[in-house]
Amino acid sequence: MKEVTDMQGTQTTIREQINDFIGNTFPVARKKQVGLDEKLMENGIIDSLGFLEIITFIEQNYGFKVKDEDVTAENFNTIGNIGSYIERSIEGA
Amino acid sequence: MSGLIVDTEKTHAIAFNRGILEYDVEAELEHMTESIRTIVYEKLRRRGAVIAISGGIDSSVTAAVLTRALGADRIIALSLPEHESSPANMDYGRLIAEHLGVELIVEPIGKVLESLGCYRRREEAVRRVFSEFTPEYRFKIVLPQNLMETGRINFYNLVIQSPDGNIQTRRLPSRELLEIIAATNFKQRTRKQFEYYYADRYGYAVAGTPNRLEYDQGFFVKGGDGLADFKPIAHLYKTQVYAMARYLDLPEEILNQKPSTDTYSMAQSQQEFYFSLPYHELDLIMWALNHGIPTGHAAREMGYTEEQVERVYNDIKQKRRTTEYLQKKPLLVSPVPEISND
Repeated sequence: MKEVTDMQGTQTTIREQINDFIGNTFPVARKKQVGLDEKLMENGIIDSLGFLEIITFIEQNYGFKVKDEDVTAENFNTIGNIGSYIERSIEGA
Repeated sequence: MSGLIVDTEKTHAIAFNRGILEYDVEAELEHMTESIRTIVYEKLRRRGAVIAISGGIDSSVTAAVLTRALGADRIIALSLPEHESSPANMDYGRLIAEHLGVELIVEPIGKVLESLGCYRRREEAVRRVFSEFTPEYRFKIVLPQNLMETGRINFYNLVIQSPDGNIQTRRLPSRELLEIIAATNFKQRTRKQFEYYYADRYGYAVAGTPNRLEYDQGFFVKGGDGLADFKPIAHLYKTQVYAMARYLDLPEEILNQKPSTDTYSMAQSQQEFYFSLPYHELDLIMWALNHGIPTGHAAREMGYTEEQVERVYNDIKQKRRTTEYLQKKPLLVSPVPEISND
């Protein structure tokens, strides 16, 4: 898994950074550990507004614009999928 | 509920077809008028009803049913236009009031909204997305309309139209989306203030006007159009509201209108803003979901793929989850058993 330097200068994986962001931002995720393959929308962890916040986080931290057609359940519905999407986008940029 | 198909949810497969929403309108009207009298006079102990008339089909049918139940002299209809209201809708409001013989009071709310900063706050948010935006521009927010075709997550696009007609569209960031929605909600909440003013003034009950799609899917503003003492048509699918309107012989102009929000400066349909599907399709799919119809069966009857129906089922459930907060009554930290919350 790709490691990147986060805002504190620590080497972490993208998935860990997304996990931290979700854990710090969304009330349901604050109370419990969210698994990498746990469905975020179906389990009520994040709603559609929350996904917009994740998109803003991605664009501000990983240096690319998320295209409208990429905002799908396939790319965003688990932390694992979000991480994979970011890695593909960074490599493709 | 006489006249309507009633079944417990998700217990067994039952017949489903495109005609499933047909019903005995007269029988249902009898039931509704009896219920309304019981609710207004006995349960709420009010003397009549106040209703805000938008000129649309839902408030028109609600007003017609209230008139049938309580009599025209016990109804106060309010027209509450603001700076962005469609003049045509105001005309339809006058038309339905005259048709029913109910008193119509017009209370413009534009200046109240100005003083609350409704328009200014929204314009500032739009300008953060489109720096060229000025008050001479028009705008609206819309959802993607291909709900059945993709696994796309719902997000709003901001659409602006310049004075010379040029249209631009951008995805709306969360901060600006929340600001626009919060500021726009001043409209519905200000209208509700006037409804309750007249309700208090005359000892009347406030009638809400959501249909079943709107009520079920959280298409209302908490403390705004979601606030009411009773909601006469909340159990009727929109298709059934139209059937009732035809049965009640409401004016053709009102029947032929496309459902709109009349909330933004650019014309915006309810489908664009919230539902992403024509209401008659969404009604049927929601009925199928509510009655435990397997996706394959629903798909075959409606001419869709199973995957398409599955996407709509999921969208309906997702909207219910997201808007659960809007439906909740105030929560008490500790119970107060002497006071019923029903």
